[in-house]
Amino acid sequence: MCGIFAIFSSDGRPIETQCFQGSKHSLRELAYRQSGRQRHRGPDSTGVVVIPEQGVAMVHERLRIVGVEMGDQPFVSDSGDLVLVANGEIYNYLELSAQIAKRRSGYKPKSDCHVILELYQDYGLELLQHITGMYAFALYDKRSKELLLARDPFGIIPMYIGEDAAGNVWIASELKCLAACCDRVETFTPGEARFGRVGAMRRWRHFEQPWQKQLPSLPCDLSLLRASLESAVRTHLHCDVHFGALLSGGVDSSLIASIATKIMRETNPSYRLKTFSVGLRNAPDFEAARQVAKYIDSEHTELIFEIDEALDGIRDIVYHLETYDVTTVRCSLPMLLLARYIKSTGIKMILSGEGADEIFGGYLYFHKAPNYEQFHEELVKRVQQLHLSDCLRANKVAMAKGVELRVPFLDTEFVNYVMNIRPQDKIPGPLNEFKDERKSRMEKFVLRAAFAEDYLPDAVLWRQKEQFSDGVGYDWIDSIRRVATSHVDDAEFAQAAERFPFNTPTTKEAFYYRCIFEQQFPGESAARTVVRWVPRLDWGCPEDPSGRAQAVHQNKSEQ
Amino acid sequence: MCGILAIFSPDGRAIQAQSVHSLRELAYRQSGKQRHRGPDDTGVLVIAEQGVALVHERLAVIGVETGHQPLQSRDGNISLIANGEIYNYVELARQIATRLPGYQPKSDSNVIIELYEEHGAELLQHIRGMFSFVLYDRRRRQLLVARDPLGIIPLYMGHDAAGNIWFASEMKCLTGVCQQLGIFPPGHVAAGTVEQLQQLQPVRYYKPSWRRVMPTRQVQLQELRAQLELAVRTHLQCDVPFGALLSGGVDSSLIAAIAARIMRERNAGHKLRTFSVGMHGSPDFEHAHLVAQHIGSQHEEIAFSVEDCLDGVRDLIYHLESYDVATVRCSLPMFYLARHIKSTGIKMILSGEGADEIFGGYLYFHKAPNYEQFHEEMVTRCEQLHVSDILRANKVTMSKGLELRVPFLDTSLVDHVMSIRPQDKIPGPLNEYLGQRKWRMEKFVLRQAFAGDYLPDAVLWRQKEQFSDGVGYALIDALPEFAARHVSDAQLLAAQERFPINPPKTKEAFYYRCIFEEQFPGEAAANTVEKWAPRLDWGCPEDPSGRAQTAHDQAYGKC
Repeated sequence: MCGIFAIFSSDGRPIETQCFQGSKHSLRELAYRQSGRQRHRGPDSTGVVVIPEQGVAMVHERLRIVGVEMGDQPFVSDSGDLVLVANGEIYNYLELSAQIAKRRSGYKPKSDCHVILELYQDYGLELLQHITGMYAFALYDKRSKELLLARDPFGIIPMYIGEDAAGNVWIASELKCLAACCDRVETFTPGEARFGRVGAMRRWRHFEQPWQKQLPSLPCDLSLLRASLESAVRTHLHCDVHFGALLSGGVDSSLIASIATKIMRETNPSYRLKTFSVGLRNAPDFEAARQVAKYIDSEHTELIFEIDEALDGIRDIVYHLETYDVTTVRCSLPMLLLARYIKSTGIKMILSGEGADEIFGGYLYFHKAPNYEQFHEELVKRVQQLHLSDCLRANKVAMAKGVELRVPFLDTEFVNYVMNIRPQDKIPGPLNEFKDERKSRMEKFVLRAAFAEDYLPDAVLWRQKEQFSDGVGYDWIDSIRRVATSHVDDAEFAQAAERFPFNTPTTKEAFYYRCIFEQQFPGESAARTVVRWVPRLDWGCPEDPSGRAQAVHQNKSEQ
Repeated sequence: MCGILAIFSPDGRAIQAQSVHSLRELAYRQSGKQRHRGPDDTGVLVIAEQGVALVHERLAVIGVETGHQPLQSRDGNISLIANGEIYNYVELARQIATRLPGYQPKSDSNVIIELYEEHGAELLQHIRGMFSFVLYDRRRRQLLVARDPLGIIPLYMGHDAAGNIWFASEMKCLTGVCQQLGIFPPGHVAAGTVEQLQQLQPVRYYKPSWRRVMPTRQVQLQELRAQLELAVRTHLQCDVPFGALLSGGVDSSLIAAIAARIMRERNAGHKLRTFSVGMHGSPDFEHAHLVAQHIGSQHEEIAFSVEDCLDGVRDLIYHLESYDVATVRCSLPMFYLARHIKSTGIKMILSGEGADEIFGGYLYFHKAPNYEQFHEEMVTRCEQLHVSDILRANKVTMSKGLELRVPFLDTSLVDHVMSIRPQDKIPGPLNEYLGQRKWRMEKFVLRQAFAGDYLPDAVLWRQKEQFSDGVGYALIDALPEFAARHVSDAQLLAAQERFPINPPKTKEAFYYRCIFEEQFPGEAAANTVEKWAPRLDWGCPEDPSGRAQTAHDQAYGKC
């Protein structure tokens, strides 16, 4: 994974040398410097292409994962007319390059993303129907001065777009590259593409599925579900460097680790996956993760952290996450420590379980869904918002330390399959009608049932969901809330609505994160890129997003 | 290697929170500016009631699992943060174990605590290596701060407005908080109780006789060889993957050749990993390749373009904390190479710095008028190493979290070589090796000591090139031109007024100085930099590049 950055002049003419923060910067210098703010995403190398006469600069910060020797970007087509910067992984690239090789014999992709350049020449904008994966890219055509921008269906890979005072368009993987330079910034919508010359760009959704609009009616087929997830994990294992897997102790990450182990053992029967857990001493997650590690015989590491140590990172995490959402900040800090540790062991890629809760309806508040329609609509909404919460967290926290996180549950085909399953089979609680038998069932029942045989110990397979930040130890939430709160006095807090008219923080904790955010990302348009994660208040859920606050958890724990 | 930061209140009392920052938050945040030095882990220790904060940013190289810092004595009274490597720690640990049965050091630095308990500040007579450390004894309320004999490891010291005393591995941690700051001098120690902190003065503990007295001992080639081999051997203690630089010159080639031999004693199949950097077609590649073949290393050549290097100028000056033209020039290729090496998973790298200073290898030494001045100039060069070559070597590699080790600067080796009489070392017609006056090449005795099958003759007897020339004249030509685009004639004319300290004389120097000032404002910061120039009074041109010295062409004719 990597970081991409580009500047396109408003009129296709040169962007002159300008004074920036007290000294003269050519377009190249400006681009290199601003892209430097996301250099943590690409610790291994930087590539720059500048087309001065057209006012275009494209920068790529690279973490070498696939095509280690050949894949340095920007990619330039053989004719020299097309330039591409791409971030992400195209999981079907081998299949695609085999097709390309039929048309152009001898074609060998320099890396997975390289196929984008070729497909553009063959299919034009239709290329987006051919690639599957997690990505964000900018492709520039010198001949027509047109550019194509696109982001993957769920926004696993971040991308921001902005405009400076002169009307030049800026693109970056992280908001921090645009912060000091653009007057307007916005999140590039997942599943969307834009094409054309600057100032006359057409936007459309390249990812449109029936489940986004209508209630699905397909009954769940457990063996198909299993095969589908296994195939997703398989494609996510393309990797030319050391990798591992997270074990949070919950069913989602455990399943991914278990499937990955089985796949790796097909070619090497003695393969041991490297797995990692993080928590406070005696965290509830550790015990469950240990059981999984033993069951799948992984080489397992537990990273025990002290509360103070994680609290040290509050300011850094807001900077890296580019959000002030309370839940996201809370659960990212332990992950930041873990990402740093993992990187220090030489691992560059890590598998994780994000996304299962959104597509299967795993959050505890889903127990309160009043009917199938609302349950499904809420799933659709959660999937659409993934890029603002879990995906944002997963990507930016891992990339803060130059580690790529992969999320097989969000494989496009797999999401389509699961989101096409009728809500009757997925809804947790008494409304569940799996196999037309109405019975109170646990959240993510079909997922668990599909992997009932020898994938995981039963205690984990059927373990109740804990929000990640609770699972690391119950003291964690209390501590971070207390420390954040202590930084804000009553008088300041009373002014919250005046100081932050948009998304006004309602607690001192939220106020504190917001202040740090504003210092680093001033301006209303930056604040508007953030959406708060809250359960459905109209279903009677408390606003506190920690899993523990949801009544279902207490009920279950009492049983 | 790592980064350290310490804050002490002037009177041993608690330090009050500054604006929104507690002491811990302030220490963590400022130390964050050198977190690149310790990508693997941060350790914080705050003794709030005594106004003490110690932070350690760790790159785990020895004692990966147990070496987390700050280290504490068993009774908890002594706390230590140390950056560097104690090369004789195994031997010291053995001695300590006779006193404390069962003693096992957690890492090489751990022995400092035990030695302090036994010897106090005299411990500096026992440890050998590259280091800077801060030790705090909370029972005696005493601190001890020290830096290695030649300053291989950087250390800065400063005072903030409240009179608190700060120490940090890099100046950037002190910028913005300290009114006064300066270099903590190499070979010095500062010790005292917290009540005397205001008067704390570093005093010299490293006082070899060669600093004052002209040496008279004749060189013994066999002993010289044995000493260098021993130095390399101690520098190979390392628990993580490592490699060696090959610049194509004799110094780094010898280190790599010796290291390859030692590693093969341990494992006959060992292939050292070696790296060269240069512009496409650089003459150095050819020489490095010869060496790699000769010593059977797994060799990689990293080629860069002029633009790749120019992109890095601003970041480089930030990391170097210097505006010295020679230092900036020499560092650019290394900066590029260090990133690549880090991306391969290597954490430690051996290099040849220091040979030119202790053997008199710079071309301008040919102009030394007599033995006295030759020796004195070497002494000066050694004392300035910490503001030139090793500042560069350390900070450039640490900017990417890579540790560089320099066996030529092993204290015993330096003392040995600097005690050889100048008659044997002086290059040119004054050389009197074995009592026979004859024109000899620079570093003759070093080359002669390793004649035989260590290196191919073409490299062993190759004329010195300054690193900055060796990597391509095109870069040296491009830099002044590039800088000139940023500086007008009028600006340069007013240089004296804008920069009264060390006023820049060329546009290149002016440009570097502007970038430096932007990042490190104030006189104190400007005063930490010293300019590297040959001896003008010996008739050398001021341009620091080796090419400008006439001996170069003559010498080529003679070899």
